[in-house]
Amino acid sequence: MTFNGTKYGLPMFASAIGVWYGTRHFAKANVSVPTTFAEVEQANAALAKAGIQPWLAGGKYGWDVMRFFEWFLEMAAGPAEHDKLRETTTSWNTSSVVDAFAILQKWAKNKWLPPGVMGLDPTQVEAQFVGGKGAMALDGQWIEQNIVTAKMPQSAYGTFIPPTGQTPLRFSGFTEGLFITSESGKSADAEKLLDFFTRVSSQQLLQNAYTTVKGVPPTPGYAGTAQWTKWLAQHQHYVIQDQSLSTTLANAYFSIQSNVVQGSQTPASAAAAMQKAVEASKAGT
Amino acid sequence: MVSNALKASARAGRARAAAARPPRGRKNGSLAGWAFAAPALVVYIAFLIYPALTSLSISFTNWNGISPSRAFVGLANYEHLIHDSVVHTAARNNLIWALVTIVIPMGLGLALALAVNTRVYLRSLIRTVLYMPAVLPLVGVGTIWGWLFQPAGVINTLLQDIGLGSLTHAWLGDSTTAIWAVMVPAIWVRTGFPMLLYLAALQGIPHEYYEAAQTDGASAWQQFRRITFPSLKATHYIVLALSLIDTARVFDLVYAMTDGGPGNSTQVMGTWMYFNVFQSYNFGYGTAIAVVITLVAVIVGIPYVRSQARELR
Repeated sequence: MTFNGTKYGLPMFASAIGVWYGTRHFAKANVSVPTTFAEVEQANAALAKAGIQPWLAGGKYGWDVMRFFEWFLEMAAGPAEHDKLRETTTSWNTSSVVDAFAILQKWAKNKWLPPGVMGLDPTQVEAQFVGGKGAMALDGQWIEQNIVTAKMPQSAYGTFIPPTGQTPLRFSGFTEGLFITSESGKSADAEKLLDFFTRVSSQQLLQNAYTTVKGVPPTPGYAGTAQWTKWLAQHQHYVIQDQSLSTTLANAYFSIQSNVVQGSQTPASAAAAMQKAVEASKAGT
Repeated sequence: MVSNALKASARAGRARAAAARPPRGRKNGSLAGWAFAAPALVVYIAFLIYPALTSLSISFTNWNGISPSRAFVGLANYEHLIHDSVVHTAARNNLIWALVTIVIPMGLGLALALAVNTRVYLRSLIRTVLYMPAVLPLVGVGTIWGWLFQPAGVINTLLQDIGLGSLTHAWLGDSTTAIWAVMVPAIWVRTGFPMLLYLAALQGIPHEYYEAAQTDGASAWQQFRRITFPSLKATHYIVLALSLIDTARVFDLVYAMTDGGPGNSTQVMGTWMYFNVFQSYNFGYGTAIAVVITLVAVIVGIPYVRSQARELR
C-alpha cells in the first residue's frame, strides 16, 4: 500500500458491501434475486405486501444508511461522476445527487427502510437480520460470521451485488492492511513479519475469510464470503463514502442524510446543503 | 440611625477580624502550612492545573492530535465556535437539559423523600430501590433505555397494550423527540440523589414545629409550605448547585443512546467536543469547546464553592 510514493504496508483484508437476504422471506413473498434496480424496488414492494420488513438498517452512527445512499449515487451519477463527487472535485449540487437523495427519501417514506431507522443501532439490527426479522441487509462479509455463529444453515441466506445498471458494475468496499511506520528503526524485521503473515499457510491458519492473498482456500462454512472474494477479483469497487470524505464532511453529510430520511429536507435542498458543506470543508471553516 | 448602627457594627467586626488575624512575619507557620499542603498541591498542579493550561494553549492552535507541529491560530477556534450551527444546537440542548433534569428530579426527589419519610412498611428497602438508579453506570443505563425506546421496544409495546397505540413513535429516530427521550433516563437516574439529601434534611426538622402548627390548626399543605419547604432552603441550594455543575458535564447518556443523532439533533457540548477531538482529530477546535464547558461549569460552581467556604469559616 503506497502513499505519496512511499510503500508503507501490505493489504490484508478486502471488504465489500453487498446485499444479504433471507431465502425464507424471498420465498414467502415470491421474490427472485433481483438483477436490476427496478427489480429490487419490485421486491421491496412485494416483501412489504407480504408483511415482511424489506430492509434492516441502523442509522444511529450514520454509516449504515450511507451505504444505501452511495449505492443510489453510484447508480444515479455513474462511476466517473461518483468518483469525482467522493473526491469533491465536482459539485454535489447536481441532478444526479438530487436523484439519489430522492430515492433514499422514497425508500424511507415507503418504509422499505425500517421506521425510525435513524435511531436504530446497526449492531442490534445485524443481530435482528440474523434472527430473521427482515428480508435484506446491506452489509459486509462480516455479517456471515454472525450468521454462522447463529447456526443458520447456508440454504437460509444468500447474497448478491447491489445492481446499479452502470458499466462497469461496481460496489462499495475498502481494503485494510498492515503498516510499518516510516520512523521504525526495525523496518526490515517488520517486513519479514508481514511476509510471514501474508503467506498462504498463515492466512489459512488465521482463517482470514477476507484475505487479499491469492491462493488461500475459502474458509469452510463461509460460502457467501467466498462468493464475495470472487466478485472482488472480478469487479471494481469504489471506496466506501465515509472513508472517502473527511470526518468533518462525513458528519455534515450524515446530518443531511438524516434530514432526508426523516423528510425534513427535500432532495434538492440536501444536494445544495451538501455542496455548501464541501465548500466549507475546503475553506477550513 | 440604623445606617450609623450598621457602620459601627461593621467597624467593630473589622477590628475583631484584625485582632484574630495572625501577626505578620510568622514565616515558620506559613512554611509549615505549605509543607502540609505540598503533596496535595503537587497532585493538583500535575493533574489539574498543568493539563488545564495545556488544553487552553491547544485551543489556540489547529493541532490534529498526531502531528508534531501545531500552528497558532489565535482566537480562530473560538470564532468558529460562535458560527458553528452544531454548537448552537448543542448549547440549546445543554440549556434544556439543565432545566428539565434539574427541576423534575428536584421535585420528584422532594416528593419521594416526603413519601418515604413516614413510617411505611419496608421503608429502608423502598429507599434503597429508589436510590439504586443513581449508582448505575450511565453508559449501561443509556444502552438499556436505548433498547426500551426502540420502535419495537418495551415502551411502544406498553403503549399499544394499554390502548395508546396512536402514541407509539420512533422516539430516538426522530429529531424532534430524541433529546426528550434521552432526558427520561437522566431524570430516572438523577432523582435518587436529591431524594437522599432531602430525606436527611427532613429528619433534621424539629418535630415540635409540626406539633405547634397542628395545635394551631394548620393543614398538611400549610405545614409543608410554612415549615418543611423553608427549612429545606440549604438543601435546595446544595442540590441546585451540584446539579447545575453536573449538567454542564452531560455526555454518557447522549453518547450511548443516540450518538448525538439523528442528524446532530441531540448533540450536547460534551459529545460535540468528543467528536471533534477523538473522531475528527480537530484537537484545537474540540479543546476550545472543552474550555468553554469548563468555564461554564466554573462560573456556575463559584456561588456553591463560596458558600461552602463561608460555612467552613
